[in-house]
Amino acid sequence: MGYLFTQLARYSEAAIMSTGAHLAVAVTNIFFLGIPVMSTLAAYTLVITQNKGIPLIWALLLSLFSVLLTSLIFVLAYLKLSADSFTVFTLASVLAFDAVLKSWDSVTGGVLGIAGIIRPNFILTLSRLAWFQFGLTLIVLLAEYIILKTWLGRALLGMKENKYIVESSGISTKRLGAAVIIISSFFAALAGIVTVWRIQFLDPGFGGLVLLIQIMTIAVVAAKPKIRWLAISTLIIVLLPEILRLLNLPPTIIGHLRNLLYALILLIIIRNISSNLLPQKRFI
Amino acid sequence: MFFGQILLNSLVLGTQVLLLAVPLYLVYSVSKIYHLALGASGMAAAYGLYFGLSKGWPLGLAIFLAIAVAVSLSLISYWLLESAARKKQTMLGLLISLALGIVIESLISIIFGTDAKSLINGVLPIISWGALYITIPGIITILAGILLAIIFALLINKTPWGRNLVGIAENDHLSASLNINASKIRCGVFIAAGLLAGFIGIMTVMNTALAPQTGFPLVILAFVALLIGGITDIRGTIIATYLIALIPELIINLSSSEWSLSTNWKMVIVFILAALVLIWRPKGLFISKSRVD
Amino acid sequence: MNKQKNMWKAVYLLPLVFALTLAGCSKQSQTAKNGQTETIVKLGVVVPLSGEAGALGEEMQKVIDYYLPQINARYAKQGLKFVAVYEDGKCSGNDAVSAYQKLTDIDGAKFIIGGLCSSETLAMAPLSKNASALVLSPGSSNPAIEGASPYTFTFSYSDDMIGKKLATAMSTFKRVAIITEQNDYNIGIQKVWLEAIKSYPDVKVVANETFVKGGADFRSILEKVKATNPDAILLNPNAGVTPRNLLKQLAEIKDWNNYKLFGQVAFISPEVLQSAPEKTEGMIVVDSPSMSAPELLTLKSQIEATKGTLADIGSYFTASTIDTLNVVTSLIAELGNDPKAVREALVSREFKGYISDNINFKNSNFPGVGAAVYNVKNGAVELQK
Repeated sequence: MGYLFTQLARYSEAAIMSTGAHLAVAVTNIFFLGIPVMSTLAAYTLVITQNKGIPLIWALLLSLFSVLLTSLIFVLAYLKLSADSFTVFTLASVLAFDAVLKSWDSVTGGVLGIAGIIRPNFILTLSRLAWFQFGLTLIVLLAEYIILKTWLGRALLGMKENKYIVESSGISTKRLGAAVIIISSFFAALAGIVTVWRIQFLDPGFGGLVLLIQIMTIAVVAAKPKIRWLAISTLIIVLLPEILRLLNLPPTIIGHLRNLLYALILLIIIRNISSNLLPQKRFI
Repeated sequence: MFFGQILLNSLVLGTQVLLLAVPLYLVYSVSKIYHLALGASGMAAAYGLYFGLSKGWPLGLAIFLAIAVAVSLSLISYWLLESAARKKQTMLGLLISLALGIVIESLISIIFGTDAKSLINGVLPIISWGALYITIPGIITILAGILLAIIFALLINKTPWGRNLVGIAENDHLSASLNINASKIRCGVFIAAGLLAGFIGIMTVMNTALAPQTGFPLVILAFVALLIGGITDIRGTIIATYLIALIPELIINLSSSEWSLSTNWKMVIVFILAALVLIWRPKGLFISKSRVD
Repeated sequence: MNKQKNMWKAVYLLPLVFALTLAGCSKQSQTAKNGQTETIVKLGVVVPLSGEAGALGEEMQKVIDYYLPQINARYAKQGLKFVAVYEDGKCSGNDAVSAYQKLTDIDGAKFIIGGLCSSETLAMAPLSKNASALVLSPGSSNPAIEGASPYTFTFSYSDDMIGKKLATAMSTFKRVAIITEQNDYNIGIQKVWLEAIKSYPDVKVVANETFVKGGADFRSILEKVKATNPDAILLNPNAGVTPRNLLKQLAEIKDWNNYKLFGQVAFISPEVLQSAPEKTEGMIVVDSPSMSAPELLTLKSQIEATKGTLADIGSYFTASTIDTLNVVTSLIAELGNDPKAVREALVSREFKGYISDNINFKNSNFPGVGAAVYNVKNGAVELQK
């Protein structure tokens, strides 16, 4: 049963993080690739502050606040740069943040990481944690559902289709883009916090490019701005490595095969259903 | 002499990045797509050479294999990215190229393993002037880099071919009406870019070591150079490349005692530099004038 | 259209079905063979099989694959068969945790051989505290393993020993420098060395440089270290191609010779030392005690002849892997597939193996193996007397 709860927990973590990516990529067409940075930053801030003796609730708030501040830096970049430059900039931030985590070892523990992270009392066991994460996932998915059904969601979809028309109806696309980046960062922070509670170990390998590939694959496979597509896409992508384990492939290639498969899925989906990732062509 | 050696090392590193930034610039010029898979393609070509040499093939045959790998990957890249380029789907193109880069890197890891390999055994031959020294692959890299940068800068800015390249990306229908086959030219550019990337992949591993993950950080540095330099001007790219190679090296090597920074901070310094420049000049340091509709 | 929808539904549900089928408890298999009941005992193995440390994990796998049939032959009469179930730890705490969960919950393994990287072992240690499995690492050496869990042990020497021995060896020099790869093993040694060198007030650390894991260009670092004019330099990279590159690039600097070189396990191999013989002549290397037992060397040669090179893990970790297998299988054969009983025996007895004639975990999670000092002569190491 421990394995089942672990998979449920992994699914929840991926779903929470991918909700932000889905909102940014599939809904608004903002390719914000700094999501792993946000999740790792939240996890490290939480653990470091707790290790300094700060109570859990304050540590959580500090963690979310640090993510909010960092997301404002990305908002600034979004406002200043062109779309593809912003994407590359956020991609470079993943490498830069990884370098900070490894090098600033007096604070982060460096490559040795931080071990023995304690879970909150109410989710001490894996089963409780898994159900808690699942509950949080439902709340996050509900939040995205509500966003999509309100004027905000319609504005975001409109921004993807034709941002000039959105502007001309009095809605600032810059503010919308900023809101998406901040919301995505918030969801990524939540995912980072619950993940570190499960693993109870934190090192620079926590986030990085591997995580980015996974969540981008989920966001792109989900394609349409619908919650059920996101939920199902997450299920497929998260469980795919587990299926590979069953195939008795040489262990030496399973890790690379997983990355290869994610990337191939990304390629095939983008090539074949790219029209769903673009402004919907409406015929009047 | 310490300062001089740092400058010389930065020149080699900067040229390595430049030789990747130029093909990136070329591909961007014709398609408006950032081709993130170029780093991995360059490494794949280097692995082709390694494979040939490790099997005892003659050098010429091993080089031919490396060229074949580079050209094949260029054609695959062209096939995957052509429709995105034609439809001006630049973001999708970027995602496709990122995914392609990961596919190439994963395949290399599966076939060759992830442990680093050396192309040249033994100490590299060097040329020295007093206390300064440079390896033979290093000097080849610098000479080739400067030569290619000048050639491409002249080609793009001073020749009709260069103007056609820019025109294709702006409006390929209009280019077609002027009897310019955009697809063919893009294909040619992709192949040229792949060959350049292969060349620098081989030069880099001759100077250091061969590992599947070497290409990606280099291509990110090249992108940052493009962003800082201004993606519309190859001269800006050339200058920015050397800036992002030199400034972190100087900061790291001139830092000392309790403020000493190690080379693992390099990516952080580059990122901060990029952030500061782009906040000040969002379109880059050097911008070409363009028509405003 | 309905057919298509149903097809997509099937595709989406398939992973769920697979996942649910994995959720059952696993039982110890019993197979009948030639009329005798054979009990299969699963040994989970968590080592890096991909990524930068993949080469090390693959070599450890070669040792296990070669040696386990010999163990099975030993216990065949008792009807015991040990089966290794491999999971890729990727030298990452996150993946090691998933691997541990899968091995203990799905495969029913109660004994885990691994991790190899300290980050893997340190991540699994908290999970083993509830005695769900006994974790025995053949290769993790980080001092943080001490006291991490009562059910986690390592057959490796501690970085503590190596770092302190290096500091002692370098204490006769006034100006010392260290160049370290940013890797859990090397950073562990660096920290211990920096702490130990403080107890020699006459010794000044003039340069403390680190480079990214798997880095290949060290020319700028070497120039920076050269500018500080050290009398002794400790080269602290991980095993593989990195130490070779470091030595080759050091040899490129022709006008810099007035220093003594020190190293660790990465410089034990003659192939590494011979990449720049003029630089390594007279180098001091600190590593585990000499694994020169003829039986071990013969066994290692046999493994290399059938399975391939063991150049990266070397003699010590070949020996520690074999000793780990010998100890754990002998205790399981005697006491059953019970982590608690085996753990009790492990901490109360002494064992003889290739790594030491007195392997004991009575007061420590480490086996009590010390460090030895070697001199490099003519491209090979010689134990210092």
